[in-house]
Order: sequence, then structure tokens, then C-alpha cells
Amino acid sequence: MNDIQKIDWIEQYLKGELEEKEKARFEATYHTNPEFAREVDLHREIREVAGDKRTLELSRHVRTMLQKADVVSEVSSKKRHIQTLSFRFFFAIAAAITLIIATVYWFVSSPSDQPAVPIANQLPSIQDQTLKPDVSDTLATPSSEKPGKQITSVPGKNFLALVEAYYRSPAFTPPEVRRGEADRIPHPIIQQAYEKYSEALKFKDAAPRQSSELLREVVLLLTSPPDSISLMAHYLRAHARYQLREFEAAASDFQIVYSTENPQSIDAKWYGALCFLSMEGRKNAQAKQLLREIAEGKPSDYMNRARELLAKIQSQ
Amino acid sequence: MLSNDPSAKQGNDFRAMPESESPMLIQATEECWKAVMAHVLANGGTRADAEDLVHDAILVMHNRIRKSSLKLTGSPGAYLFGICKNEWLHRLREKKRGNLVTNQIPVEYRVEHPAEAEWRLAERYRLYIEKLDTLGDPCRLIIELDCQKVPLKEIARMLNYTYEYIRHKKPDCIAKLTSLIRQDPRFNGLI
Repeated sequence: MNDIQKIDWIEQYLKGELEEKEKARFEATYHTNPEFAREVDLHREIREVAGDKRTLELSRHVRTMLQKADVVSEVSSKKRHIQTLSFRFFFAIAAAITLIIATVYWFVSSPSDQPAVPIANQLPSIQDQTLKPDVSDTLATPSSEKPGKQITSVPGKNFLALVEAYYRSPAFTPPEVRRGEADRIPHPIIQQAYEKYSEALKFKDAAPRQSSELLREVVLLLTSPPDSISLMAHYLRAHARYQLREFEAAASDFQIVYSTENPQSIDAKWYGALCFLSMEGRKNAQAKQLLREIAEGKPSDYMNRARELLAKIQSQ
Repeated sequence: MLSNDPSAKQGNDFRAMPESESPMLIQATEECWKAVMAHVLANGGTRADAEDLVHDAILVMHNRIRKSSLKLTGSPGAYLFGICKNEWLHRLREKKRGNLVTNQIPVEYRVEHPAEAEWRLAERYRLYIEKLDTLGDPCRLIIELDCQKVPLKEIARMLNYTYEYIRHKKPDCIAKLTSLIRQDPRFNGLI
């Protein structure tokens, strides 16, 4: 019995597909051959863990979490710090207003020839202020419409819906091998990452979870790339992170690519701008800066798109 | 498997619906990760050791919750830290023992403490999952989907291959995976 036949035999036994006679023969071999028994036990445990989706997901999630742990805890503690500062600021403002009101009241209520003016008549009446809805506030609906269609988004928030209409995943093709140029042989890491990325996009609608897992593998594979493929790796990793909605990390990778003059600088700037627009409002300025550089720089495929997108953002 | 009995108590009695355990475990990891890392680094370990330890601890907790053998009365993060601390001591002792010749009972006659067996299983699972992930696709997907009882024809359709290809590819993939596992130096110490 060769190795493949042995594996098939073990798998059939573990799935309960062997007939009684064959099952008895299998079990006899298991009890008399320790090496075979160890192999069966290994197969059994592999089936247990690989067949347990929740354990697999939990394991991979925890792994990814632990690898990013310092960033996560740092961001969380920064957020908490900002929230604490905001609360203290608000409290200080409230205390100052109270003090001012108390001072005014003290001056007003001190004896004088003039009649006291009720506080209610001194402060602007809140009842007089009416909130009128801003007619330009329309909720953006996620859409796969092509660029050029009228799409608006909520002012002051991210432009995610707008960006989704402009994002197109580039058609990555592994660099071709050129004869006589050994340095053009595709690096195995990049080759593997390209394949996983393509596979991930193929499964994006049919199997989104598997697609996400593949994208995470791309990100892991391209961690700490060798210098010779650094820019390619960062560019591909950025797109994988973008697909995973990790806009901040994606923007950071794109920035590495467009900070160095290379054939993909403009592409990286464009996608970097899309990342900034997908984040909270405070990043819009950086997005606009990048779009302006593309719109006013050397002629490129992105020039008109950048002008169009800038116009849409600035109209908000 | 835990029962989905809606009358089961919520709160610290984690014999609750299984669906609730993952967020609790993730939160426990966030709560205790820094403390575990500090403890491991201060006691002869590395960051990688700390990551492995927390990962295994999560699987152990996950397993105990499923078997309903875990009833927490305090914070999950504190529990996780506690079991990590104890297990780290054990791992340090094992590291120090190394390849010394001892009068230890041979493997086949050794009776493992149940808790120790849980940890060894978690370590083996970590190794298997790691090797599954390095296997690459489509092998990883074929193995996982087959083990999740998806019929081969369905796997072929999902992955856009023919049935014959998947049928022949599957044992190749399993052979590759078991070979990767056996070649890992950690494997012999875990069985």
C-alpha cells in the first residue's frame, strides 16, 4: 500500500465509510502497529481542528490580534486619553460659563437705582432658535456605480460610499521573466501573494470569510519583505488591507510607495487618497492634498478622476 | 456542546449560549495580554512565547466553556492571566529539563493530568493550524472544507475545479500537511 492509498484508507475509516470487514482489518492494524496508530491519531486530530470552524476562526483572530497587539492597545489608550481630555475640556468650559453667569447675577442683583433685569431677558432665548434641516444633507447609499454618476455623502463624515464608486482593484499580474535577466524572475513571495490576492478577489462574493482569510494571509506574507521587493510588497499589501477595510494601515503602505519615485507612485497616491477619504473627516485634508498633486502634476490616467473627485468633495 | 437553553443564566455563568463565548475570549485577551507578556518577558521568555501561551490559553478556555466545565466568578481576563501564569511556570520547567536523562516513566505508560493534556492538545492544534495556514490554497481550503463535511463535488464547485481534480488533490494535500507537521521540531515533544 503506497502513502496515498494509506491516507485514503485512514480518511475512509475516520469518516466511517469502511465496510465491517475492512473496518475490522483497519482496527487490527491500528492495535498491532504503533507507527500506524500514531499516524491515524494525527489524522484524527487534524480532522477535529480543521473541521471546527469556530476554533479555526478564534485561533486566527487571536493570532492576528496578538501580532498587532501593541498598535491596538496603543490606539485604544490614545482614544481613551482623547476621551478623557475631551471630558475635562467640556467640564472646564461648563465651569467657566457657570462662573460667568454667577458673576453677572451678582453684579445685577447688587443694590442700585436701576431696576433688576431678569436673567431670562438678558440671555438669548433658546426657544427663538429653530433648527432648520440642511437640505444638502442626503445619506449616501453604497453603490457600485461607475465614476461620473451623482453620488453625495454626509458632510463632515467619511466619503466611503463615494470612494467605493471610484475604487477599482488593479489587475495584478506577476512580473514576467525576461530571458537573460535573472533579476526579473518573480520573487516567490510576491508570486505567492499575487496568487492569494487573486484567489481572494475570486471568492469575495461567494465566500467572503475565506476571501478575508486569504487577504490576511497576503498581509502576513508581505510583512517585512526583502528590500528588493519592498515597494511591490507594500503596494500589494496596501490593496489587501484596503479590501479588508483597514484603511489606516492601507494608507500607511501606500504612503511608503508614493514617498519614493517609482512607476507606481501615482497609483499609490490615488489609492492613498481613497483610503484617507474612507476614514474619519479629519483625514480629508490629506486626501485633498494628494488629489491636487495628481490633478496638477504630470499627465496620468488618474488626472481627470482626481479633478472630478476633488470637485465632489469640495462641493460638500 | 453547550446547550442553547435560553433559561441558562447570563453574566458570569459562562454556560451560556456558545455564540457569546468568542467576544468574551477576545475581550479577555485584550485585558490580559500586556500583563502576560510582561510576566513572560520577566521570566525568561520572549514575545513569541507570550503569544503562543495566550493563544493556547484561549483554546483551553474555549474548550472548557464548550464542555461546560468552566464557571467563572470573576473577570475572564483575570482567569486567563492566572492560567497563563501557571502554564508558563510549567513550560519553563520543561525547557530547563531539556534532554536530560531521567528516571521518568516512558511515554506510553505516562498518565497525564487532564489539565496538562488540554494544554498539550492546544499546542498541537496551534501547530496544525499554523501548518494549515502555510500550506497555501487550494490545499488548505480543500482540507478544511472536507473536514467540515462539505461534499467533494461542492468543494469542486466552490473552488472552481473539477471533481476529479479535487478527489486526486485531497490526499496529496493531506500528505503535504502531515509531512509539514512531522518535520516540525516541536511535533515530537507534543505527542
